[in-house]
Amino acid sequence: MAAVLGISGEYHDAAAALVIDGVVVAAVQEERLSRIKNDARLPIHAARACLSHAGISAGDLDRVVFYEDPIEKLERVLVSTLRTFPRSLRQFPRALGAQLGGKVWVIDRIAETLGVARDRVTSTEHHRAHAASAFLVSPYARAAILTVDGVGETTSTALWHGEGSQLRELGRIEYPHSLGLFYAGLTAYLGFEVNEGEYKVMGLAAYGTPRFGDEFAKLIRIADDGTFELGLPYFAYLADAELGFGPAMEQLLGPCRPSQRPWDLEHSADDRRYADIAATLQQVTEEALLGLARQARRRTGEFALCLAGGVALNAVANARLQRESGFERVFVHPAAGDAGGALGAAILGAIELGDPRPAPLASAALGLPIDPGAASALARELGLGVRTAKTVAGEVAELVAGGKIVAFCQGRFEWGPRALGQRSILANPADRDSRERLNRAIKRREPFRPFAPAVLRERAPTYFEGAPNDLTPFMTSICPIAPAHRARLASVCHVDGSARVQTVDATTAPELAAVLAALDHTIGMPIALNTSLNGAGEPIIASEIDALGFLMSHPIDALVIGELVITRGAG
Amino acid sequence: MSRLGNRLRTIGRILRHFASRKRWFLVPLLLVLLLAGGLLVATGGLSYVAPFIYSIF
Repeated sequence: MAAVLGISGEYHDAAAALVIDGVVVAAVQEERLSRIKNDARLPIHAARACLSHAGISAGDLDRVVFYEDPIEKLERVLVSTLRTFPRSLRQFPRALGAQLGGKVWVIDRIAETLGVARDRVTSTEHHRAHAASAFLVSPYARAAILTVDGVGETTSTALWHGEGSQLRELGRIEYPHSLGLFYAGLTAYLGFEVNEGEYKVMGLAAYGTPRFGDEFAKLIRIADDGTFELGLPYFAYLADAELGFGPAMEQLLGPCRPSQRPWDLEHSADDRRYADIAATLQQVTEEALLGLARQARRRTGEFALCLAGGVALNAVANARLQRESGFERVFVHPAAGDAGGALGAAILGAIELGDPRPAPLASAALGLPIDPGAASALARELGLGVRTAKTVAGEVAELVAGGKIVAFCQGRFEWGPRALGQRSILANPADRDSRERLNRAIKRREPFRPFAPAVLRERAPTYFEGAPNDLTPFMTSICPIAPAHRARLASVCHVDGSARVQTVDATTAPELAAVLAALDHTIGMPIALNTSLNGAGEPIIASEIDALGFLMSHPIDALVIGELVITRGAG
Repeated sequence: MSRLGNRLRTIGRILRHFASRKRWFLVPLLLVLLLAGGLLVATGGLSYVAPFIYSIF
């Protein structure tokens, strides 16, 4: 029986997760509390929040596990610098600054900042933490596991076999050959911000034709056994961390897209070419993942596949894995990126100390709760209208059916990048005006990015082909919308007829399920447009203070916190 | 003092790691890194942060 804190950070999305006696008690991304999107700093706020939620102090922790080995990482940086010398000369001072400025001392810093004895702080391997995060909270007793990201210590891709509480590595692909860096490099080429723009590339891909197959054959070679190799001369990240792609890629594919130019897929031939490049990138990535998954099926003989690592957040690719890889069931951890590594590290530590494997993850609501009492007091102080709803679900459904946009906050915030009904914006999925207002005035997103629907689990098969499955509760996959319903669901239907659907179960998300059931009466479908409760470039809302700030700075019609309905006009 | 103890312990781990992996050829580079790192810390040069495309180090 142990209390184990897992920590990820220093590279991408930092997070902390707490496992006590084999139960996942809390999991929090630092960005939610620091209010800095993708905050990579050591997640001290998140760690303290996990401890405070559980009512324990740092001194009660039996172990703290960092999600990767900082010394293995240092070795990879040194070896890589040597291999690419003298081209790496420019990045040498930066690599040195990053490593010696903090990263190699991370275990010491965790111990000192949290006030935990140094010998209680350990580290695990990056991809093992990912594999644990995917398999050990999945619904499967045995499974093949693929971990695919940019790079861990030295590994970019790994195949595992999971059985009970055990993980056995079967093979790996090492840096610099990396699907994550391949996708990131081309994300940068297309003018999007790396670690943020990959979702946009995925959305853009549906507008293009994958006609750059010959060119991409030079960028990546996919072998029959599922392994792959990048055409390294086209990628510059080995020698310069500011650039993902080199001049050779621009010679091959044409000039890169300026990052700030507005998109015009209708009138700009250049933008249509970039959409075609995005389509080819997406197709090639899916084929590489399919190759890896088929190899995993052959090697393990299992019927279930678990995925984690940043590349596993590619919902379109996950849908193809579900359909075409030969696995009967597929599960993706809701925080599949580096944040999820914190939970994987905590579980590995707990198992090592003799605790059982946690129960399958039924809900991603693992963050801090919102406080309706505090929200009410603050809202009145701010002169906002506050009232208690007679029936929350009924009132939200009435508002949404009437074309209103509602911010919906219930209970603990979500773990991972998706809003799943705890910190969501809800709108009418049949109303194009709501979608336009959301896109232009609230979210300020590129016009080609789709919104997602949430549907009652038991009614999902009527509207979405292939739903529900193990991916849909966490919105980590897409499904085709049934042709008969595409016109009515235009606001959540992507250009290719798909939607990144969330299936909602009354036992795990009762508040959102009640709203969907009420919507069935008002709009005739148990479906809402569900998008994350955040403004452009901001992390998703965490506290009642964030939520009230959002209401005051964005043109939404109502904010619902618990049973409170808060509006801008005096109540 | 405990901070110094922690840092010395980490340096010991780094040296043991490179010795056990027979990565002796990296030791000169490592020493240069440690020396330069010390200078950077002493001169405050670490405040310079590059706009990384992807945090690979």
